[in-house]
Amino acid sequence: MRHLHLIGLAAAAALALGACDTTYDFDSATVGEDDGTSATARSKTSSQFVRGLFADVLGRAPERYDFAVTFNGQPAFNLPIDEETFLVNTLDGMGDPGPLRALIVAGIVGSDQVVLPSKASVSDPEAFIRDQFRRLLGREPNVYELSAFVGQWTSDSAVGPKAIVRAIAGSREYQSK
Amino acid sequence: MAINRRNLLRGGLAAAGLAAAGTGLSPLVRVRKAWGGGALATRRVVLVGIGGGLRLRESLGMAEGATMPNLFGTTPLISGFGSGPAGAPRIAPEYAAMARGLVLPAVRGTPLHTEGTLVTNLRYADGPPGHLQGHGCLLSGAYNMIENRADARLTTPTIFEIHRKGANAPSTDAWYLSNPGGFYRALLTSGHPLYGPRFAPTYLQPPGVMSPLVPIVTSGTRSLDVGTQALPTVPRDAAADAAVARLSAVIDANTPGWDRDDLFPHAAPDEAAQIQGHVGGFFADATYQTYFPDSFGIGMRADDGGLDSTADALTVFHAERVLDQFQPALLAMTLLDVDTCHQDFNGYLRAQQIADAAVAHLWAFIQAHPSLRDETTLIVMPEHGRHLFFNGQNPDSLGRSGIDHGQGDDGDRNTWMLMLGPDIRRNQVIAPTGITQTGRSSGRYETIDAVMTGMTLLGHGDRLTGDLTTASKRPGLVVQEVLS
Repeated sequence: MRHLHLIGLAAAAALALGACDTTYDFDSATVGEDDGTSATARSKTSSQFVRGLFADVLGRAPERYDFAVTFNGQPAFNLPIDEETFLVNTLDGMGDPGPLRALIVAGIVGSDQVVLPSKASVSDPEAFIRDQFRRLLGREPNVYELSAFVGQWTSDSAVGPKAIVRAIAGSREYQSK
Repeated sequence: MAINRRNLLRGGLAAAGLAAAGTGLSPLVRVRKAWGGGALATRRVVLVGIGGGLRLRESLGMAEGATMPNLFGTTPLISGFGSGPAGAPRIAPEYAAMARGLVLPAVRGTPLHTEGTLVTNLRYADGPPGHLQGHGCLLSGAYNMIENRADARLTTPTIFEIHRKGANAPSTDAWYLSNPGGFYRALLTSGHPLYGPRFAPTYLQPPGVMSPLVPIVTSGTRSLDVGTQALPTVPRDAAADAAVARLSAVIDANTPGWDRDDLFPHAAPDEAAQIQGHVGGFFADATYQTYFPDSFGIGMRADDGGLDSTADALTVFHAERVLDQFQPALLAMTLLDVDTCHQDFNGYLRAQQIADAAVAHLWAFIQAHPSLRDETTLIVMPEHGRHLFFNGQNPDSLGRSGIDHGQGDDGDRNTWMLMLGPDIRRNQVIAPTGITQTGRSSGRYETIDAVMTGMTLLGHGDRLTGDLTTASKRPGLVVQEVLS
């Protein structure tokens, strides 16, 4: 930071002395910001995200059902659940839904609903990773992505099938339209 | 390091700052000079907006009993309503017979207002006394006509935007917790071209998010024996979370950034990870007690003798969790349970009791927290009042019925403000008059002044004044009488 300020001060001093004939015409409030000409990502709505996640990870659409609660075998009450409505409403309870989307993915991927192989049973991690990219993003991983994912799979015990699915589903690419 | 336009600007601004130091004063120094040169101790402001409308008559006037004894004691603090010591809130007998009991802690020995300054004649002077307009004023310091839509935007920046931009603060340094969801999301950011979603606060609606149904639904469990089975959770594994974040970042490096006008604000990755860790901690709890523990002691009596939350109590409980975890410079929250008054006058009185106990709990929490107690200023005020007349909805045996808000009579516009904190004068109940400003006809301090005072304590007074003036809005004044 100190280095940065020194450079900036030197430049400012040079400008003040008229030693530099290059001028910069900018709005001090917006300089350096996106000018709107580059491609940008736009979020899926919460509903699009939930429906897409269910289709991609669970292979089904969100459903409505009665959640049956019992106490020591005795019926207590039934709670009607509409999975999509509930999760969308929950996501609307945060400004940036990203952290909550990540938790919903973690909950689903960590549940018994999703059958993923254990890390030890995956003999070809590269093929597994390619499959997940195709399934969730509809494309092959590029060489850098594949290298990074395989490298992490090899070096980090926390990276296995669940982490791969969570990472892809948590990416900006998956979260955007 | 290459010299580019951004670096140059930073350097130029640094140089400009040095120059200014020789000839002027930074905004914060100016604030401090204005009050005798004493250093301000405030580093954090917590703003509690009692949404839905709360009248003077029932709160400070205690015309229906002492509904907020922790804040105001039991003797009316304004004249014209109750007289002499007020008793318990007057709940209609038929209502009391049917309603679930409230769980409230013992009332404080001395009311909270004695620890700070209470302004009893604040005026919500302009704009419709409606929900989004009222809270929009509390969160921007500007009277406004914002529409009640989630995609509506204030034309002037929110206090969150001003703080984040002015202090170069992360999203985790400015929080907005709201009892209601829906269109209150509109108040995160403005449509001001120099602000917007990149300066949004972290928004959390506890009643919508903090529910054990989240792990239940994501688990796919469709039946549960709560007597014998483990309760579903969202698994929590810090190593796995970190690995997932690293791998997502690999893909994100090949993906365009979020559009600046995207549907949602987006926290920086490290901030998002912190927020995920915080929220995930609740979903990982296999006891389901951390969402709203009985030990909070404020809410409604559950059938099993435990504690059920109300939306306001849940909101304050989670505000305390956020304050503990993140210690943000700015936290605003919206309570709303008193708005039941549209149809339920007795519920309105009870909701005041909950709000009163919850605010007192919040202040006690702040005072017990070593990192918060000497640096935090608390501002409490209704977003506006309610009409002077009943609407006839659900009349009770005491001749009372619902009360609406929005028409702008004195019941709607006369309100109050309580401020507590290290820079706030103690044990002062005031009703200043003769306050002058171009465009101010009330002659009193107003809602916008409370916001300006809070933002000034955070060092953003000049920026807020400048932004409002540029937008041809009347900026609030600093309520000098409250400052010690």
